[in-house]
Amino acid sequence: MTETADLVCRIVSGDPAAEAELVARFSRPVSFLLRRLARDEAAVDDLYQDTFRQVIEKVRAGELRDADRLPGFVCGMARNLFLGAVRRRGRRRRWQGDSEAAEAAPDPAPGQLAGLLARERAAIVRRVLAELKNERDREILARFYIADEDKEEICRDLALSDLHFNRVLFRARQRYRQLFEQWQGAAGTPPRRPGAERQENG
Amino acid sequence: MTAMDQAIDHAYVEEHGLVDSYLADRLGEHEREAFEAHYFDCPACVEQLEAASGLREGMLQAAAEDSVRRRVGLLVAIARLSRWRRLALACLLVLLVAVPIGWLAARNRGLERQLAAATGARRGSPRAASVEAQAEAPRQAAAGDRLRLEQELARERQARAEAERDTVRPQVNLAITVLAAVRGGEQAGRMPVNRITLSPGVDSVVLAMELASVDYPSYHATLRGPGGQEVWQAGGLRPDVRDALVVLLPSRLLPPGVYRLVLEGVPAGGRRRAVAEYAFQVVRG
Repeated sequence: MTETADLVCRIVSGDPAAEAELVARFSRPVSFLLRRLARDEAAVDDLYQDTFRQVIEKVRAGELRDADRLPGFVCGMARNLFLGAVRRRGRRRRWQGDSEAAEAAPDPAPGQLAGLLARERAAIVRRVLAELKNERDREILARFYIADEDKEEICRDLALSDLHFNRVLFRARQRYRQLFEQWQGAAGTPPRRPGAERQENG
Repeated sequence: MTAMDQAIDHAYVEEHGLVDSYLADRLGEHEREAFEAHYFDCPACVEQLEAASGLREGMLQAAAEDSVRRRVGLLVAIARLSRWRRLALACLLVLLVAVPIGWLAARNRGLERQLAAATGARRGSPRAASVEAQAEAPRQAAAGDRLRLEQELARERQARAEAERDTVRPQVNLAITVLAAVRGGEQAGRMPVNRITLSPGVDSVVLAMELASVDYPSYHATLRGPGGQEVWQAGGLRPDVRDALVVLLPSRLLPPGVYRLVLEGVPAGGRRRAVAEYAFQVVRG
């Protein structure tokens, strides 16, 4: 029996530790996917909670037929809940008319925390760029991430090999991660997971 | 084998750079689903996604900040100038715009003067007057031709508009007749069994010819009038779901008399073959 199948069996048999293990195991990917889809912190928090609540209920009820497909099942649940929320919001807007929808709509401006994170990410990126040894590597990153150009096009223009391109990206990402973790450590802010406050509050 | 055929593994992700393609929304739906199912069970991929996403967003944020900083920097630099220097800068900008415009205007006036002088000189010469007179006759002839052609064009447009109106107008008062084919033993001079009575106000006649069997992809019909002259013919006729060929003819094509409609089958790439013949008599009601 695989590790995943064992986890599913334990949840089906009512082991609460297994449920906590499931949340711990899929917390980061669920959080990443939902942030990517929703971008609104409040919505991400709600969807994160709903995803795990529904996954655990369905696994408990034996609705997951192939236990090894648990990762895909969790992913599908998060995506479907997001799509459902988008549809409901669309319907509510149609029923309530424009003025009420405008009042109910969340403020599109990023919150203070999001603003701080964005500024900090930019500062870290500046350090990453400053540490790059040559101008061409900086150009690679700028063209790939800012101008959204194709890898093949950049390699052709700069007469680069695939290997060199991948190496530049890999090193930049590694350095970014190190600096970001250092900043989090210095700021005393552990990586925030959606719904963390609610879990802590019970 | 592609990611769509089976669950993808980490080596496939690395080899095909799926992390960046995913973040740039460059994966197809199936590949995206397969990659999501993979990274939900792959902490290494999640780490790479988080780092690449952070780097991408940080790059965009830094670029946006730089852009704002450049604009603000220019405004701050202007604001820091003393009042006289700001005035001098404004004058310089005005000069930069005004000088080329003034030069172009002066040049234009000079060219206009040269043109006026050249035109006046040409009008005064006797040779120019003779050339003008010679050119006038064909010009007048051309103007006449043009007027005539414009009138013809207007007439044609009107006729076409009327024809289009007729085409799109719903057809009413149709005479529908299902034709019985002429049998082999019928006498040549006998009056046909098919009889079409055209009442006043009937604009069109619908003729339906039922086929005993559909042996050809398309058919050709030829209609001959009382004197044997061809009244109408058409190819490309195709049977409907009831194995019948249906044609609609304007009633003005059918003055009273006996008509014969010859139907031929058109095999693919071959010669037409006679299939049936229908005779009918048209009378005015």
